Amino acid sequence: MSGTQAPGVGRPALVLTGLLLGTVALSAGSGWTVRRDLEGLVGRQGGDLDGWAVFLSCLADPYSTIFVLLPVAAGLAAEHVTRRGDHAELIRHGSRARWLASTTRSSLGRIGALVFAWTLAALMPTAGLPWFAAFQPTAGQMPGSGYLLPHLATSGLSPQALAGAGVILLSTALLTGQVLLATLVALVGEHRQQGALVVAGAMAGPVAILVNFKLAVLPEWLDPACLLLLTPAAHLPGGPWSAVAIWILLAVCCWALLRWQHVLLDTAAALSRVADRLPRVPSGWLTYAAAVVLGLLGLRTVAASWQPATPTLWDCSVTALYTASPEGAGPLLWAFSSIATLGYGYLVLTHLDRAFGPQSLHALLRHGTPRRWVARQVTGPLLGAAALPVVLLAATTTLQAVQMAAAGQPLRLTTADGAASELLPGVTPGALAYQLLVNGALQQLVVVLAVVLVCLLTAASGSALSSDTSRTSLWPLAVLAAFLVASSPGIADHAVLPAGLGGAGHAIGGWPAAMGHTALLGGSAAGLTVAVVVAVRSLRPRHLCSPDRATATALHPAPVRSSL
Amino acid sequence: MSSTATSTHEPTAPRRPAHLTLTSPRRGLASDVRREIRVLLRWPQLTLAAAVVALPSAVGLLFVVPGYALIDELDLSSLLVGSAVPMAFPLLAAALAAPSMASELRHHFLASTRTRTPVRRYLLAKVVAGGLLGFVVFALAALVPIVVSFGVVPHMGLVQFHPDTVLLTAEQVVGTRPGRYTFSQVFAAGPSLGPWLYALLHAGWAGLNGALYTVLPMVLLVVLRSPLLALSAPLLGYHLGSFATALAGWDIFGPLTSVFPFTLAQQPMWTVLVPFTVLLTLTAVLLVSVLRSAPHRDVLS
Repeated sequence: MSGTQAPGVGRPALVLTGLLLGTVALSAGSGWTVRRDLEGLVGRQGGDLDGWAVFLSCLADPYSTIFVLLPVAAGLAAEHVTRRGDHAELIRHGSRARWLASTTRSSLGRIGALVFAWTLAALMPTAGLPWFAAFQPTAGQMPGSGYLLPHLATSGLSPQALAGAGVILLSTALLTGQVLLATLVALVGEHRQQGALVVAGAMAGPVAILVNFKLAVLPEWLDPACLLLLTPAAHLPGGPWSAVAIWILLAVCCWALLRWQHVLLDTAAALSRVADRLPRVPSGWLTYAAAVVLGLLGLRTVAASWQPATPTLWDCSVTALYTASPEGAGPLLWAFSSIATLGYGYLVLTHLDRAFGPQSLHALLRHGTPRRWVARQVTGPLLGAAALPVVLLAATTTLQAVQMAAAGQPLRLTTADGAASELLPGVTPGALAYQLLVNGALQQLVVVLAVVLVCLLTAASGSALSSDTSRTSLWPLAVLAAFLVASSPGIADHAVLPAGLGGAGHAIGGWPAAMGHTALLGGSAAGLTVAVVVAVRSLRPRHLCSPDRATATALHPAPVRSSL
Repeated sequence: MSSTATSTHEPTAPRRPAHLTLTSPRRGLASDVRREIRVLLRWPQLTLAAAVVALPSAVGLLFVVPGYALIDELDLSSLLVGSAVPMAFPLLAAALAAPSMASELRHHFLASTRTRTPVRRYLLAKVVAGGLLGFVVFALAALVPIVVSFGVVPHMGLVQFHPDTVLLTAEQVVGTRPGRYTFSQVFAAGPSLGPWLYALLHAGWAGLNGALYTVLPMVLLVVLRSPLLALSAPLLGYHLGSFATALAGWDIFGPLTSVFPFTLAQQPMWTVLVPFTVLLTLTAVLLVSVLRSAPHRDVLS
């Protein structure tokens, strides 16, 4: 019995079991939702629900596939590679390509278990239902109504074999994705930041795919349901045989990827060498930008019901940046606004957390005085806060312009009666621009100034502003949570607190309302600025650079008083 | 009996005074949990717990309710829960127990306890104590508005209800309760039993979620090096998850609406289990991983 144990042994089985149980639970939840929807649909049509309809719909449900299956597969791949990607493993295999091939072979069982769990979860909602074995379209029956699979079945192919081939094909697609992710993680594994970005991108990819589906930018055949031949036949121009062509193309791509993965490895290695020479992009800011862009794309579709008959260039900004007003605002718009504005505040907090960390002593010595150094740390985030509304407004306007140009609509700045948008009757473009840019910038400044002030006050109260101090983490987070609550529609409607006042919805009152918000926000920003200046002037080096009291005492020893 | 059995198998060793004993075979997990609960019950935590439990009802009755035309006690209880607790829920839960643990980690207090107690048992005791505290505080936070609405307000006549705003009589409004919110389905048990079943169900559910959101940042403190990330990750996941599920049209599975399902039409009871299962699985996997690797983690030594 060996006394040593390989690092990580035991954990993978635990992680795998947990992930598979979670997969079954999530897929089963999705399956029961599908069954409920089908029951409602079939009930309205006066037919009977059958097991095949539920089973196939669960397998083809894009939400289940995108949100459950693909992230779990990506997580398994990342976990598997990080477990095996140490140098000893690479040396034992001789090359990264051989190591990757070995990893791929040992992943087959995991992929099989994943697909088994998914199929089991799709079977669970079919309990107690009769099975429709013939795959023949019948009046009042769901399964044969429009899927590609029954169309192929009527052409003489075995439906059971086709369904099995579809599951195998999806497994192959998952395996291919796993190889891709494994390759990328293995190459960037030495750089934790880039590796985290790759994994985060793999996890965010499914959401991006879904948003793209809603925007109908990507073609229909990228829908996972198409791989299982469960796409409605009318959606593919070539009929069922175009789906078979996609099968063949995908199989060829998978085979080529597995056969010539060393080419992919070499290419990725070359790209990685190039990327090492480029300046590093902070992952937090990149994630924030991606979240904002995805949110804008998604909201553009969700808020389609707001779209007026003659849209103007302001309409996208109005819907995306509406936030709160007595005229009404959906929780989704408020949530996006919170992510865009308070997310920036959170990133500023992480920046201060790093800047005021244990290494700050060296920076402080270089700058000479705490005031100059802190001012330098704070100036950048404040300028960014003032510029953020401009960036958001430019992004939303560009998005609206692209969509209007794609739809062949004339680019209008105002409606027929001169208003900025039909959604904001009577509000001129000038008032709306003032509200979004000036009040938006002031609102953003108030948030950032509050975060900075709380960080400085926590420092002045005696605890060092180092990254491992829980107080400096908790209080600024509490400030952000307070802004989150205060900017909710029910509270921000009253416009008595300087929170949530930078949205387009608050321009409904026109110039007087906008100027009132400016007064409130400007007064708050001025007060916070004075408080920040006072806090900075009262800072002492021991507040900033001492990771613990012992270091502070060593740096600035207290005067010794004689007992005599 | 156990001490006798132990003493027969142990080699003879010089007896030490009780206060110098490194390990005590009689002290178990329950004793450690009781000690950790005593550690957690300090003024900041007690003040926060009292605020979470009492403030929403007090502020709601004084300032919010006068601006609304409420139709019955169930309407009042959903309003008294307020918006602050649901929105800051993970942060409030994190503030209950995680700062104390972060302080112990930072000052390497945990390392010094390893000579007196196994680190796994110590961590488990901290997590169990934090979970218990989170359960009690958030169960009470959900229970108090319901008790106030169904038990205190009708007797004291603090709020005038207006069922006529929905063109119904008071009796008819009571009949609509089982179909209003996800958890209000238990009102089908009857007008006398329904409110208390509803109170127990919602309090238990909020308590369970509160326990998980209290435990998760404690575990993340060991996994992640940055307390800022550990304390904020549950809050970010909570709101980003709610946003992403709403964007995808799956708002019935949003983390926020699964704990406080007052902003959605009534859903089947199982829908709230989906995000709960995700959170439970994540917390359990992280906790087991931390407990298994605790003796070798740098942050605990």
